[in-house]
Amino acid sequence: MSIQKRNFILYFFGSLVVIFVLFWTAVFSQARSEDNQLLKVTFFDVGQGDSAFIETPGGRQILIDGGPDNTILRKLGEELPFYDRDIDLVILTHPEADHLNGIIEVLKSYNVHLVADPGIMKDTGAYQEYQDVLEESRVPYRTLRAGDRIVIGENIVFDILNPQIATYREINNNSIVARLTYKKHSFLFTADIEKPVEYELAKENAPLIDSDVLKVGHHGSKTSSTKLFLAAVSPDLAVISVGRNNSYGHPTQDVLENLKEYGIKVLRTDIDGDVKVLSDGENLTIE
Amino acid sequence: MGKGRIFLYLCLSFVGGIFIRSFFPIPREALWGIIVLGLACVMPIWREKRFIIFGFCILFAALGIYRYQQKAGEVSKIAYHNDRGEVVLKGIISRDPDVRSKIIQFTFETDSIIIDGARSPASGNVLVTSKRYPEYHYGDELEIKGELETPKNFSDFDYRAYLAKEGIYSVVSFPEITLLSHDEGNTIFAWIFEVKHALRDSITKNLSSPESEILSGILLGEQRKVSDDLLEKFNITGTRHIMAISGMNITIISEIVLSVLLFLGLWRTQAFISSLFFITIFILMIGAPASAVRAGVMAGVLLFAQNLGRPRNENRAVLYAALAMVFINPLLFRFDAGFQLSFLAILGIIYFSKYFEERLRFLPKVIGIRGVSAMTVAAQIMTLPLLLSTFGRVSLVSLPANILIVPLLPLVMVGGFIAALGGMFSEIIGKVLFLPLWLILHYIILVIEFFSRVPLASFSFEKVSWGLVPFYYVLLFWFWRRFIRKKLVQRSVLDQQEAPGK
Repeated sequence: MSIQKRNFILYFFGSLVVIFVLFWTAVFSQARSEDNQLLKVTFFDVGQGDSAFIETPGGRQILIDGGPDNTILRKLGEELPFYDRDIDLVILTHPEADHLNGIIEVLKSYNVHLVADPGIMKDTGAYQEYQDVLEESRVPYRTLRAGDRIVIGENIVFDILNPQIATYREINNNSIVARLTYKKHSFLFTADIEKPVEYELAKENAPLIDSDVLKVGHHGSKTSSTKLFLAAVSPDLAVISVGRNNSYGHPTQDVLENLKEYGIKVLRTDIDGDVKVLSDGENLTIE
Repeated sequence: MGKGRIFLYLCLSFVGGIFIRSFFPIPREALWGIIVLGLACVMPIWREKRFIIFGFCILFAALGIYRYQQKAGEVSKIAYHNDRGEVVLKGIISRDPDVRSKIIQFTFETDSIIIDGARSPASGNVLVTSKRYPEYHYGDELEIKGELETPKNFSDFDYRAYLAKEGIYSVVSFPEITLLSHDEGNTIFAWIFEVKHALRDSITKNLSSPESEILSGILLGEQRKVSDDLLEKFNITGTRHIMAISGMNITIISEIVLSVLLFLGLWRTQAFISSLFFITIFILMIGAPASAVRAGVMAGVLLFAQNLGRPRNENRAVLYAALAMVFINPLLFRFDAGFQLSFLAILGIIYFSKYFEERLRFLPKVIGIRGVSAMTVAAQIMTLPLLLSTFGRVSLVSLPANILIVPLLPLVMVGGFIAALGGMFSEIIGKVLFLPLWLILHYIILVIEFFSRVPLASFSFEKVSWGLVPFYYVLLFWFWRRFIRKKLVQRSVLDQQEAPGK
């Protein structure tokens, strides 16, 4: 056997061993967090927009909104093990660019098992693209309304609190509001709802919106987060999903002061990056 | 003086003319003056033959100046309507749109224009910037309502000339677009783009981010979707070129394909033709953008000269290929950084890679590591001043980073192509085939992350004086004459001495 051939074989098997080791380290390093007793809710830092990702103890994955661009793909790439190309449920709270655009990219990149939205149309290119992608990929689809309940697993339910049958003129107020409950804990996702819906929820459904973690409505805009609503939800933690130096001036000082007045701890994606909240049903931890 | 040498001088004079005109305006009278001077030199009254050749050189330089002037003066018909308020254009998308994370850009070939309700024919290319969605595709027939504008230059970048060299003289930003019909383009190109998109979709479906974006970059030349901070890390480590189709890239990749095929036992001619075929398929697959075609032509000519012609003519073969391209489009000479880099990198590989291969004996020869490293060093040395002045920085970790990554590129490309094909047909086959690919890509990212964190990984320069550039090349030329050419000459003498004994 020539020296060249022998060297080749040596290098060949050498690289096989390296690949083998690399592969299993990668698998183990990514599998570490699949702790089966924890509910994990991550509010991604996707710039000016909303995107939250839920992983349940049973291994279910739910994405609520996708942010304004393809940043979400990188976030999911970091969060999920590389071989996982499936997401159980994707919820579009309302079809505005800062919630919708990322979802289009997710639908193109992942096998999504179910897509849900409030069934509101919008005359934009992005909405058209969303419809096209839904049709092309033949993803099962359904609309969500107040009163719907999604049972995700043992002790884990998703209650839909908005929109009602009668819809508002302002598209933000037709956003899906959802409350995730796991044993003792609940998370309230308020999308971009404004004062009228907050008022309605606080007045009529106060016990239903009481939660431990609140995703602050409309990126902390002054259109939302009234004292009445904050008092009814009475969260321990409020998360504001907002972009650095955004042109809207979100979050506003008023909202921050309201939150402070009620002694609610605030985390912001523009300052704190991705916000990760873990729950075992008894204790909440922030990562 | 041999005929070949005279021809070379004439060509160089022609480029010289283009060079002068690229940087300095030449008034008509001065051009006539040059022509008269040249004519005076070629008069048959002179005895000295060299003098006559010199005269022809002057005439060729004048020709270069003229050619540049002619090309630079070209303007599309549609550009007449620039900056004159809102118009409606009808036409088709004539190239594969450039999809970025927030916007889409595409070249729009107009056939008619409507002003105040009256339609008149008007041809020309317009660069359209539109919102990210809806997506448009090659061959879409559109009606566009917006304002035609003359491209505006940035403070340190001649954007107008940059677009002019691609035949674009007008831009439209965020117009109102109505889709009239699909598939109005060339059938062959439509098919090529369809294959490209199918490959891209298969990659995004089967690989997670950022590995999928990097594979799309390497395989399809689409680096727009790679996140900014990761791109910055590529810049810092001097490895961004792996996602662009440059002469250096194509040369290195064809060289590796060639050596792998030779290793597998193919004959030289077979291996050469296969790697030429590989380059062609690759360039077609990424949608054959002009920059890649130019780089491919130069790399292909080099490959050709090395394997079929006399090896010592490779430099001239590449030079003539570049010349032909400059003749067709003289604006490339100054305004196309990709073209300049490709040309210089290939020259660097021709003149310096042998030398560095001998210096880099400590590297293993397996899968072309030594050869690739030598070529990388050679290309970097030759392109250094240009990289500095174009991108304003130089990477100090570029060498180790490239050596650790570049030899894997052909594997990524061939493997990526096969996996993407497999993924189109079956999810499971895709999963299996993409697994090893994910590993290699992940490794590439780890290497880049590691080197980008090294302190002082890259130096940025505010402004590099253009005056230093010729100085650098003179120095490099001296170095080459002093240390490299001598050896080559000695070796060729040895070759000739050995030859008769065969």
